[in-house]
Amino acid sequence: MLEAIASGLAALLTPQAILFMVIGVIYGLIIGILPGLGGVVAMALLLPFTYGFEPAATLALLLGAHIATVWGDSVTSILFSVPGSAKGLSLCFDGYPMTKQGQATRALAASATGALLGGVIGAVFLALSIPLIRPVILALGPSEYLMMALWGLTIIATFSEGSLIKGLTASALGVLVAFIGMDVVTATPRFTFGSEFLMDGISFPVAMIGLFAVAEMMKLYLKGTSIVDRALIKEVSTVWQGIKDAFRHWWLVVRSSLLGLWIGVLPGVGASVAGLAAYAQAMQTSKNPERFGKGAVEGVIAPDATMGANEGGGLMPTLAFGIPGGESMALLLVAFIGLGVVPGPEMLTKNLSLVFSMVWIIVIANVLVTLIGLAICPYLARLPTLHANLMVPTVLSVCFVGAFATRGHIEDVVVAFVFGVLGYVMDKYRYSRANFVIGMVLATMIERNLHISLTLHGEFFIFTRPLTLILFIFVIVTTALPFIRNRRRKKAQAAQAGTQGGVA
Amino acid sequence: MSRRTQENLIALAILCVFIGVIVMSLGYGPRARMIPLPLATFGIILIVIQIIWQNLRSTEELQVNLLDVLTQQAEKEGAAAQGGEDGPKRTSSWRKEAVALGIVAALVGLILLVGPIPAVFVFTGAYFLLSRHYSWLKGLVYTIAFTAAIYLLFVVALEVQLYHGVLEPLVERFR
Amino acid sequence: MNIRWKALLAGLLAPGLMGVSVPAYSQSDFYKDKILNIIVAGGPAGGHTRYARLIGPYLQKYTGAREVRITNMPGGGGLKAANHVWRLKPDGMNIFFGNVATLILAPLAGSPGAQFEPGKFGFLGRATSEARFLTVGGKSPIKAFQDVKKLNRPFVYPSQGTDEDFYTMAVLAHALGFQLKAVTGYEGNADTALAVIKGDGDGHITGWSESQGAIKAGDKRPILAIASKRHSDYPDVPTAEELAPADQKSLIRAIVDINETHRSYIAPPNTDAQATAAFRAALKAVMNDPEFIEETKKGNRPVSYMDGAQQQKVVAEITKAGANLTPILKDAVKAIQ
Repeated sequence: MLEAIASGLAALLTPQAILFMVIGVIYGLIIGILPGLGGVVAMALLLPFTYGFEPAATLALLLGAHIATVWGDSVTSILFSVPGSAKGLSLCFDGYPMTKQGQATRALAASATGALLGGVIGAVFLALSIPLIRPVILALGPSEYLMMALWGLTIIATFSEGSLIKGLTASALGVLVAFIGMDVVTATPRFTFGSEFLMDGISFPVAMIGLFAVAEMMKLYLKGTSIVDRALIKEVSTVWQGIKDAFRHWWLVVRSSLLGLWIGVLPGVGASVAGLAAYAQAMQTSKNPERFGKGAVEGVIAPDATMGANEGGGLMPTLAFGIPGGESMALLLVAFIGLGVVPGPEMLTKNLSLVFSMVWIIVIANVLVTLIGLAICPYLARLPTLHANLMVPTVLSVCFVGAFATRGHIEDVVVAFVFGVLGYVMDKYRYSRANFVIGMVLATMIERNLHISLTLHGEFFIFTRPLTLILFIFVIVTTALPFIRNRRRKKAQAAQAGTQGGVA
Repeated sequence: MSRRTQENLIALAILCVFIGVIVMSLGYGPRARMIPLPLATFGIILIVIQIIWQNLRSTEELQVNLLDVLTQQAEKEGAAAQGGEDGPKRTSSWRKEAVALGIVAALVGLILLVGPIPAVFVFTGAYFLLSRHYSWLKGLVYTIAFTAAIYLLFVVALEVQLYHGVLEPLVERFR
Repeated sequence: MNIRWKALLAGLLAPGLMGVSVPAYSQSDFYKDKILNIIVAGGPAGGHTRYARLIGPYLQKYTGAREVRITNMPGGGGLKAANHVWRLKPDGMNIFFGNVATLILAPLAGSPGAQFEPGKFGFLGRATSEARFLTVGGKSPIKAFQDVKKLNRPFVYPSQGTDEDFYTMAVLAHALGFQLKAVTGYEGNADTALAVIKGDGDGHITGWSESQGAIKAGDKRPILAIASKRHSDYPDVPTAEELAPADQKSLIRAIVDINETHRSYIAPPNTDAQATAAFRAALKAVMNDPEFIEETKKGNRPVSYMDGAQQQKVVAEITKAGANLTPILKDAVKAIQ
């Protein structure tokens, strides 16, 4: 094993591999920063150029690019509240308020360091858990996924900004929007109004671009100045502060990383869920949850650590069973087959050094991303000070071209516009956009797994499957906790309590 | 329009969406409507409660100043403080909102008409020109540089096949 | 090595420039110096895209086109791209690359997403057809296909939705006489494969390449080949036709034929005859190019060429023969609703 660890690293220390990694990382950072495009696009475009190179170099290029896209997404979320995908959403909650308070540099540095630590912790645990992973994956099935998705729903209470009714309404709307399109369970086109375009449903990144980016630009236009006015708010933070923040909250980082690795391992659970779960976890375990949403640095560190670790976890099903956990892993699988490596449990015996090469790539690519990130974040932090008259036209342009580029459908531009207006209205009248997205992300996961569980295990599957029952109880307990805590806090605040508490 | 009326309109719109969902769901098979139907019913209950609740409260509690929404400061400020500054400010904010919507719609319209890259050029250029934030020369330079960057990133580096706009067939006919 | 480096850098910076220097060996000048657009069904990560990108440069070489563009059109399991191409101007400049089996099966099943008549497309040639297998979990009590009938309960089939495999499975169950319970809603092949390995489901249909690893590791076992002949890797696995009762053999043959039409180049209806001929000739030249064959072997991506004119006839025949399948397919869809 130690030998494999060493030879895995040695394979990466060729000039070719190092150069490929650097190219991959820079390329991935750029793609990640563009809205709507993610790791899959980055890898797909690089794939044709990888045939014929040595395995370690090829993987360095592909994995390096993939990992770099993750942090690129965080950057725009923190600076402009523009998440390029559902993954970046959770960075908007606290990263953007930090930017507004003149702490953009700190937020960016904390996010980069969080992603690095997450990536490294994820990689280490990935290496350690290789022998355990098969039984874990085999133990969980659709009914357990369903419980996890239900647990995800409990975050709704977190983002309800004062009115739980409006928060729930927003989530319900989000779920219904996710149902637009061909229902794969029953082959029924739902809510498509006969449109061929709507058969494929509303694309996530496009909806996010609309709900957040377009709506934020409309708001910025109305405000008429820059996001951050340096005359009023000085940039007070430094890179060093952000780095320190991440290390100071080391226990949070470890927890978030393990959560991310775990979610990455499960083939049916996406990375978009990971970011939200990490945020909720950070908030529920925090001593002062009321600071969240107003610029708490923990709210930046936790999602980034989770997402950093998530990518490592995504490798597991590919390695353990030879089946890709997601679209990006499907591409990696293609690269493997192109290299003459048959992915699967065999890899853990025959190609262990290649497996460790990948673990090393994750570590090194993360280090590279973070170094580049820390170097450029003071410059990036100046972007929000640009005047609205420059920001509005350029960001809107990038967003709509990005919306088009996600699938190459011109209709998506219109969808982004509709969601932009929707996002603006929801924001103005306090129907939480975050809850809307949570509903959208979890809707299909809940519906599909519910149907599968019912068909496979019958109507009483919750009680016939012990693991499901345990998770179900866990969901109920953790749902009740915030309300109990909320009530206590409300009591402490005595005077204002009034009607809102009664709703719960 | 008072804040309460606005809130009521939004709530009614949402109510209509939920009712629409129920009507459409009734046409689907039992499995396809298993989640949408109860969910929409739940949504109707929620929004009806919301409508009743927001009409029972005093007007002051509903006042949300636009600027506070922008800076997300509203929770901190007491609602009563803004009671006075209703009239003139709100009408002008309505107009500004319409302009903001118009700007976004203009860009979308341009993209549909002439395709993304020319639309970006025209939109950015026009915006710089009309906002008079930059001198026309500086604005033009920025516009060209920005459009070129978009082109390089999306079309050259990412191989995005661009849409050419509904005007293209017309242009082709005259060629 | 040096050239590859440059290719990589050039590719990262300006992919459009790459092909300019390729000399033209074209038999017909129809495509000479034009831009040929290949519309690929599915996203950039899909199998169709891989093949389209592999073949692209060679097509450019033999058509003499200035550029061969690959455009992805994901959606509707390939139907979106098919609908799009059905309505395109038949000037031969836009060619569809996708799975013919989808084109044939979706209209047969009356899918609301299919707005075309498969026989009227112009078929320009098949690039590859991959053998598909019915596989069961490694720990499953089903050792061979005969055991499926001894289950005394329906065969549980985890499925992503109503794709070609779903329809194929329905026909297999009907023709080979076993009960089937399709469980739809799984998210992609990984999810269904895992369900089979775990034992939540009994088995599913996968392609040769995607199941290779799991079969080698003993996680999955092939019990039936959905192909016209046995596969050299698994000589003991019988084909579906071998096991079918005499009166059902034609049904099996129809569904196997449909499956074997697979990844092909397809033109809009009534495409320019000159363009059709030029493209078919160029594809034939590509498929016989030793350099190309070498590259497919290295990349472990087998090709199996079928001539366009021949394919046109085959599709017409199987579309007709496939009409018998319609009630079976429709029943299968009804069962999940």
